[in-house]
This record gives sequence, C-alpha cells and structure tokens, in this order.
Amino acid sequence: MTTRNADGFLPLVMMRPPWLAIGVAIVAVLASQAPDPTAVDATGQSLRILALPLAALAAALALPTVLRVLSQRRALQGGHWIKAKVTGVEVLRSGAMLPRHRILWTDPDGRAGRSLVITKRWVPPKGSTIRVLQDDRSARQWWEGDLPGALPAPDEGTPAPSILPSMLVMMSWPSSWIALFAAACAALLAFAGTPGLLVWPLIVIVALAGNAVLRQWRALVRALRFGKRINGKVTGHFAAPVSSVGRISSRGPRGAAMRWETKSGHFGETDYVAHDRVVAIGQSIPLRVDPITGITFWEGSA
Amino acid sequence: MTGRGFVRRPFNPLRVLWFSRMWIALALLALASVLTFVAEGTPLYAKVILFGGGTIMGALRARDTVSMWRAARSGEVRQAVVTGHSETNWRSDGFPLRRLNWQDAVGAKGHWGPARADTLPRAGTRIIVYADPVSGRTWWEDKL
Repeated sequence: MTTRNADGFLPLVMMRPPWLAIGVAIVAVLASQAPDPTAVDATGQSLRILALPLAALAAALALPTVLRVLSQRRALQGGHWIKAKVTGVEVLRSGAMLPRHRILWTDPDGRAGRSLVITKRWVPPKGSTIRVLQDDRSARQWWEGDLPGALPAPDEGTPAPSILPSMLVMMSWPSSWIALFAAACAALLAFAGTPGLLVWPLIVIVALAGNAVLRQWRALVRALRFGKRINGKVTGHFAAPVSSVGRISSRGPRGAAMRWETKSGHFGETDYVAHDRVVAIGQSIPLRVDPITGITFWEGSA
Repeated sequence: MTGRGFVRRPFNPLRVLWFSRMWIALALLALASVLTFVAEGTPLYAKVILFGGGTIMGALRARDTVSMWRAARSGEVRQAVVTGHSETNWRSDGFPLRRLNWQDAVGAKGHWGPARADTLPRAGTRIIVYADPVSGRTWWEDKL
C-alpha cells in the first residue's frame, strides 16, 4: 500500500459536487439582493425574505457532502486499507444519466459498504476483490475509486510506453467549449457595462467548467504517461449532435463517440472523433486507465 | 486483515430516526405544531389529520425505533450470515422488494425490509448485526 495520499478538501468536494446546494446558495444570494422590505419607502412584498430560508436549505443540502468529505479526509489521513469483496452492483434506473451503478461490498469482518454513484466509469464486477479505506471514527469505508487522493494500482492491464497527449484533445471536450464561450460572454458583457450580478454567474461557470477540463486533462496525462493498458471492445457508436463541427462545415461523413466494454466489466465512452478514426463495432481498442481516478481513455485520443 | 481490530460504528441518532422511518412521524407532528401554534387560520380538520397521523405513525414505529436506538447505543455486536431473501408483494420502480433474513452467531434470527433486492447482500454473505439488550432483536449495522 502507498502512503502518498493527498488530503485536500476541494478535490474531495469536486469529486461529486453538491450541485443542488450550490444552485440553491446562488438563488439565496440573488434573493438577498432584492430591495429591503423593511425600508420606509418599501412597496409590497420582496423576495429578500426568502434569502435566509434558502441559505439554510443550501446548508442542509450540502451537509451529506460535507460529512462525506470530512470522513474521507480522516480516512486518507489515518485510516487503514482493507481488502473487501464486491457482493453486488446496485443498478439505479431513475435519472437522466444512465447507466448509473453503485458497488456494494463486504469486508472480512462482515461490515457492509457502498460506493458513490458511478457513471461511465470502471465498475468492478461482482465477486472481485477491491480495496477500501476505513475511517475509524465513523466506521465508514470508502472505495479507492471514490478517493481522488488515494493511489491505487489497477491489478489488471499491462504496462505500456508513455505517450504525451496533445493539448488539442481538450477541444473535443464539451467542458472546454462551455468554459470558452462563458468566458467570451462574460468579457463581452463586462465591457458593455452589464451589472455584476449578471456577469458573476458566467464567471462561476467558467471556473466550474475550467476545473472539469483541468481534472480531465490531468487524468489523461496520468493515464497516457503511466497508466496500465487494457483492451476493450467497441460495442456501439454514438453520433455527435447536429451542432457538431463536422456537420456544420459539411466536410464528409460525421464521426462518432465509441462506446466500449472489457471482459471484466469496465465500460465507457471515448471522445467524439472524426469518421476516419472511428473503430468499427466489434473491433478491439487499446485503452489506458488513469491510476488515480480510474477514468479510462482511448490511446487514440492523444 | 483489518489489522487494528473491529471498530464499532458510533451511535448516530439521525441514522436511527431515518432508517426506522420515525422522521416521518416527527415531521408530521412538527408541521402540525407550526400550523397550530404559529400560523393562524388553519382549519381544524388539517390539525386533526396532521396530529392524528403523526401520533399514529409514531406509535406504529415507536417499538422498532426504541429497539434500534438501544441496539445502536449499547447493543452487542455479532456476526451473522444472510440466510436468504423472502418474497413480499411490494414493488418499487419496477424492482421487486424482498426481505433480508439473517441468523447470527448466537442463533437469533432477524430481518430487514422490504427493500430492493439488488441493494441487499446475497445469501451466504457475512454481515454485522447489533443486538438490542432488552428485546434481543438484532438489527443490521448498515441500517443503523
């Protein structure tokens, strides 16, 4: 086991941000900007009376995330590693982002644990052995795949020569475009003298999307530089939306994002690539696993 | 394997209230209190429904809640083996709901559910249960 565990607060929060709490907090801040209802010249009702209840609601919604992060930090700082066995994979069928899974495990003592919800990531198959980090104070266990600071090594896979990815890869990620366009809009609005209340949300969007891009880029670099190689099979193609670059410029057929699967149950999707680089359904593609987040990238996306 | 021995899960009253569903009764009673003593003009039937519903729900869940509370607070820790899932007529979102049955090292039997079958450990899995010192009922640590 490794001792090089990161224990930052923000990476653990951004692993699964409390989006609802953040949204409610933003609404609370907006509501607090409404005119003062107790002023002498106040006219009628004001949304400002909602600010405090909304702030309380945001705090309540963020509480599970705060407790999770505190427990994960304690686990990373002074917890101990346990080998546990996957007893099942819970399938969550409700919700827009599918498929969503949750690993259930039991350790040798019989203590049960469950992972956070996994979307488009590596899911250890039932019966396999995983490593979990136990926080002794709350007796909660965390799967290494839910701990961005933990340093697992994928048991499968073979070492492969390192590749240096090109920065242009980032242009095929939607988050980069969201960040760029939000930054452009924010700059335009700011120069046009728009009130700050309308510009700040855009800057928040730039920060969040930029964070996502940065995280993905760092995962990609790690995966291609020292990640293990696994082989996947293409199980499907997903065409890009109509607004994609290839469609607008009408330079030939559209490309696709490839859905892949491995024998041991990894599954995922590559970036959208042009038609001449698309691998046919049923063919195998080489993949690299980021040892820290478990995100798996196609070697060809470099 | 664990190296440092077993760590008992600390007592958390909120978890007990959540998993025993006593929070529903408390929420109903709190709403009834607010509507009665803070808000004005609440019709009598609303007060009767909320107070009555909260009281009935609380009375129905009181026994289990107290048992779970004692078990989580000071109950004996035991290892148990899942003996199987028993069928119920309940369904949720297309998933059949089953009841988890176990038998612990002392021989006491216990159950949890109805719950979605894919969220429950399979038959033969070893789990940890806490025993209520007064009634002897056992409760799965995961739901305590």
